[in-house]
Amino acid sequence: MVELHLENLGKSFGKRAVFRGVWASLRTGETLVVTGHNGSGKSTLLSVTAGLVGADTGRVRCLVDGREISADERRQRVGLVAPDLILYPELTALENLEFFARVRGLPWTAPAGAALLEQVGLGGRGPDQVGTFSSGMRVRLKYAVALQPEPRFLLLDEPTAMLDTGGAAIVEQVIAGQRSRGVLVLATNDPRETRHGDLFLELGPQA
Amino acid sequence: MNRSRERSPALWKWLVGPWMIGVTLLAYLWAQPLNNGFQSPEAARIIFWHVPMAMLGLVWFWIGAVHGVRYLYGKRRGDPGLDAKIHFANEVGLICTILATLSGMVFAAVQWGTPWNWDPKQVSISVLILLYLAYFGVRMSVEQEALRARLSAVYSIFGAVATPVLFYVIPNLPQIAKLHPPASTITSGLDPKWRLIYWASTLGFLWTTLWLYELRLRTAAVEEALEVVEAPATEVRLQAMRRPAA
Amino acid sequence: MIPAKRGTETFSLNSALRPDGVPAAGPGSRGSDSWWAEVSAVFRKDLRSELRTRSAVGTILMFALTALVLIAFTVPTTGLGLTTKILPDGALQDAVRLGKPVLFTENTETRDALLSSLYWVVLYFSAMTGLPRVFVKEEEMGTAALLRLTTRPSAVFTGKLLFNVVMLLVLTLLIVPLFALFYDPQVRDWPLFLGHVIVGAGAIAGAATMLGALVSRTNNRGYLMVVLGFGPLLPILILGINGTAAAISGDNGNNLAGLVSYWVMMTLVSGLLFDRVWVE
Repeated sequence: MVELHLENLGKSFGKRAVFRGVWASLRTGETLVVTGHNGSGKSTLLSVTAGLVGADTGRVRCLVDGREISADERRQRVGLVAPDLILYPELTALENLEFFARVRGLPWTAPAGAALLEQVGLGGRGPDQVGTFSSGMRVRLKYAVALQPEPRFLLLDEPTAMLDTGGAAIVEQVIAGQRSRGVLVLATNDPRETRHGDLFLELGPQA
Repeated sequence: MNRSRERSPALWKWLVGPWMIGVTLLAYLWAQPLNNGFQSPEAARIIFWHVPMAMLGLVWFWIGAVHGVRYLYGKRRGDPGLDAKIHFANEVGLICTILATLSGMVFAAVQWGTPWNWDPKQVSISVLILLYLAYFGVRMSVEQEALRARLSAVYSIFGAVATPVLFYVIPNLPQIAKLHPPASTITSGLDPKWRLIYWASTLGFLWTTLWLYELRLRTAAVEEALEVVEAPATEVRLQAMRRPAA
Repeated sequence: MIPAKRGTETFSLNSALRPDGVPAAGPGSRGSDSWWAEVSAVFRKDLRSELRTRSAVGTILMFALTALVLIAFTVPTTGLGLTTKILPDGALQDAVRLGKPVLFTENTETRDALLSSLYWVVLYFSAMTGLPRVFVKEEEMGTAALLRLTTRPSAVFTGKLLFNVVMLLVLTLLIVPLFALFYDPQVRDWPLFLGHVIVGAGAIAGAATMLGALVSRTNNRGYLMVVLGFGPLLPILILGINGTAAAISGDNGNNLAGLVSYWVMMTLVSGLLFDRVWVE
């Protein structure tokens, strides 16, 4: 059983508040869709939820089987795909996967890595440097990195940005698969993706 | 900041003036010039001005570092008020250090014949000035306030950790030639009259710098208050909603 | 949670998508044994990308080489008064009378101190140019975010510290021969000289790694490091300069204990402060 609680989250950059008083609660199988115009703070909210950026007010609680997980453990349980995450271009796809598996303390075998690449549609591209990849291929590799630990908490920022139809189909599968594994947060304005939501949060100027 | 203190006329600030006048008079009229080892017996009075300044410089840098630890790890972690305290403690420390350097140069010109001769303590103090100028360099290089506060607090601690080595270990290396007398001259080998005036002067300067520090904190608080646009008082609650039943 | 079942399956998307319960990573799987594995992963990653792009080592090596050559061209380190002296009075008259050479070669104290200072100044500026690269690169390329998300701060710090220590030692091993070649320092006590040079390089890397992380988060990544490093690193430079000067002249003046204790102290303080610099 997995729970994610956002409690009174607020974040500002300097004197400008990005969002304030955000509340949400979801449990295994539920999907939260965050919408809002550009600059409304969708990406920031996901970064705060992932623990990448600290919140100014409130807190994020991640619970597994009723137990709150530590920041250390969160790194192993949270998967994030976002446009501003960047993989190491001078390393190959497989080397990137291996590096992130090792720093997260996950077991690593090359065949398993190759199989994972196969499944995000990058079969056979494992030995190529990420610097030679197109932007769509890089997004696919980011999915591979995010899914590596089988995250109980999966956060997708603009899930299908840069992806072709094949890539979008993989994302559909990932979104469907996450229902059995934990919780999902989507930041998107695309109606094809917002339909997956159980809970909705619209960021932006508050009346 | 502290309203009760603002309203009552602060008597202790008015006492600093007479106190320092008293110290000055005693230093010139009561203390006899020293002949041992000084080119000009009058020049020995440097002890009353130069040594307290150098000492207070270090004291203020350490006050800054202690606030730095509080800012990073204490109960009031991340409080901008603590950042202001680090900033102004280091500022006061820098003023003391610069004054100690300048007064030392005047003395060095009389005593050793040249204002600057790379005596180990002169090296140490110039490094200290550069170290804390670098602190202000860090502050100027970061725009985002919380990050600026965090990074400069870290540097402030890092710098303070280096000071004992700069001031006590390096000048006492056997290979290094030195002109300054050891610090124990002040604590033991001094005429009791001189020691009394020395400590009175140190107290007076501590008092003055404390006042300066307070003043900086309060002007900064006023500036801050002028700048802050009042946030709407209403509590915002943006709750994620379930999909409306179709 | 069935840790025993975690194998190749962990990485397969099929299992990730499977509707029934899937073995998940056990919370206890991140012990201290895994910490060293994480540190070594960070170290090997940096080493691998360094070997592939040669961004840091190449830059600092060129920097050090340029500085050494420039100084060799412009600062007189050999010649009358530095390496050659006129014979003392009585011997001088004898030599003139017998038609023997009146000059003899011997290092002077000034030359020992000068050469030793040159070495450390070159090392300092090279190190300040190269050591922050491990962090500046992550920030400039934008890879820092994913590293923050997946890796413990202590593992990031230790891995990069090890990398910097190794890099500065490699640099030291490359510039010491050049230094010996260009300046002919006539070192009397090579073990003592190498001891100071190696321990000093480690100490510089230890204190500079955290400062590099700090600099990488400011707007002045390019030149702030030289300014910030000066105060905290000066004790290392002074101890190093004195120690190597003593080694060149053959006098006793062993500062290794001082260097090692400063190294340990600065590395500990850096390690404690690092996560405040690194974490958003």
